[in-house]
Amino acid sequence: MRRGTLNKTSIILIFFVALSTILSFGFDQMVIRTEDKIRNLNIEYQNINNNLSKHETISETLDSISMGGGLNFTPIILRRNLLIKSYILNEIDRYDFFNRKSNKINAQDLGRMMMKEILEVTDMTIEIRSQYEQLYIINEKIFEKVGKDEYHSLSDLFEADMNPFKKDKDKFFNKNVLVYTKLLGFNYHWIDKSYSDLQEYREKAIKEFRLRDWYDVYKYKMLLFKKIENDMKIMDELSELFILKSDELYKKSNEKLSELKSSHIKKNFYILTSIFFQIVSLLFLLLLFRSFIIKFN
Amino acid sequence: MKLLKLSLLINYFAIAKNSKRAIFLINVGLFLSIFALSAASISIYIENKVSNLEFEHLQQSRAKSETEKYTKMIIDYKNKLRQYRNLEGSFEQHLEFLRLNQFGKVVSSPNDLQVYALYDIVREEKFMSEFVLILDENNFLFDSDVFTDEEIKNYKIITENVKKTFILLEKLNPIELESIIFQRSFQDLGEEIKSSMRNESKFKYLKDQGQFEKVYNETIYLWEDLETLFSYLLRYMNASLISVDVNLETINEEIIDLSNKEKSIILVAFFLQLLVFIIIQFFEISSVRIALKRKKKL
Repeated sequence: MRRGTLNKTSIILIFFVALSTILSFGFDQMVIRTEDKIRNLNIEYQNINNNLSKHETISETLDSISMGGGLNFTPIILRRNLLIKSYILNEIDRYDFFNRKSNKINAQDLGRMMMKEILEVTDMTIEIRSQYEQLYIINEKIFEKVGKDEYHSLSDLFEADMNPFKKDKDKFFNKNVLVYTKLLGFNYHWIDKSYSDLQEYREKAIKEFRLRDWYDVYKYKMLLFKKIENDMKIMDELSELFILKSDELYKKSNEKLSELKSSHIKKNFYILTSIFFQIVSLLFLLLLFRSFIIKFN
Repeated sequence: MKLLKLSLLINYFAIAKNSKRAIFLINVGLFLSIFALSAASISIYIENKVSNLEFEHLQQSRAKSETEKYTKMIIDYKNKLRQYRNLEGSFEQHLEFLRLNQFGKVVSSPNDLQVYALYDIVREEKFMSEFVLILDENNFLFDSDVFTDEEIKNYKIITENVKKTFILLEKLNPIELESIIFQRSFQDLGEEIKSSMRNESKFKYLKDQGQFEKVYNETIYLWEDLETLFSYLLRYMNASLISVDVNLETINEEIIDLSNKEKSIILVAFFLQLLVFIIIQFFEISSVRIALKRKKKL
């Protein structure tokens, strides 16, 4: 063996042993590299999925807020004109429509109802604002990222304006809209006062407000509705944007999944091929030994 | 110090009996390695197929979760639609109840009943055009065997009706509707009261009066049609879910089947190769014996 015992067959066999070992090693390396790739792909896939689920949750929550808001506001907006028309009729009162013979009492009752209605609208707006605000605060960065090209600011949706309708003052009989805003009872206007002061203010309004004032309250309510409706529209559009982004992420996630799956298939293939060449190497080694033993004999 | 003396090994193999034993052992090794090679080849082939099936399984599972999501969405929309219909129905009933006396007749107007319902649809202009596009592009119902011929016929009629109503609604001016709802001046309200007082059609329902009467009544049918369409969609989705479940089960069975096949093929390959090995060994031992006998004779 040491001196010229290697014949042509032995050399070929040694060559194949070496080649198979190199191939086996090569495929082993491929397994390691693919495993690295899979690890990175897994992280990317998880990140995309987390992002996707976040966008979907936000969109669903926005839809749910919008749907809930719509269902709560619809009954009020449907009966929007009934009370003010009744009040107008009470003022005219040529037809004896009302049971109570005192127009003043009827007017106060109708006023109380109108006030209740505008307070309902304000309460619902506060509720929507609180739901939206929670969602916005938690996901501020995503909101700004998704909506930055479309909207100037998304943080103030449904926010109560303490000095509202500056541009619409000409639509009111009384240009001092603050008189009506104070009826809503925001802390901003009543910070140093007690709740009984607010109640007193409201009772005073019920007693002293005339048709023009109640028409202003009605106008105030309708402008509030308009503002809510605009904000709802923005919220719906925002939800659409989140859906579009989710679709985009879903596509990306699918692509990553395909890449991941194909890497897994490749890895399995490399493992098996590496084993295959290890066995081939062993086989040629055995053939080499066999050829040596036969030669000794 | 040499751990292995090669000359000793050479001497060991130089003895015929030892070399025979060694060749036998190497042959066993060769047999085992060939078996291992064939087993690895079978595994590569089968595993490749299983991987593809697993990939398909994954895609089907994702499709299933997507379908489930859309099913939930359709149920939500259906419920929302029903709630809106109920709200509007209750309000209509409430107005008609009020109109039983003169006071109710005066405070209510066709606009009070009709305009918001119309505005609610008309402002969703984008939704309407997209919905019509979906109806035009996806005649998927006709390809599935979920629906009877009668249902498909009904679906086509409903689709046409929905499209017609949408075209009618698109003609409405949302700004005008918006103005009627949100921009009612004191004079407008007064005019509406006067108009209701003058209105002699007291025997007509409110829905059958006013400038938007025709289109409003069309929307009542639109809600019904949309609800039916959503019901069809829901059935289609449920059928898709069942079909995906069946596909997933088939893929699972195929994977199990392939695994079992892999085991059986490897076992069969083992026995076949063992048989070949025994036959080769038999001829090899025979040939060695003949050679030894010849050596002895010489």
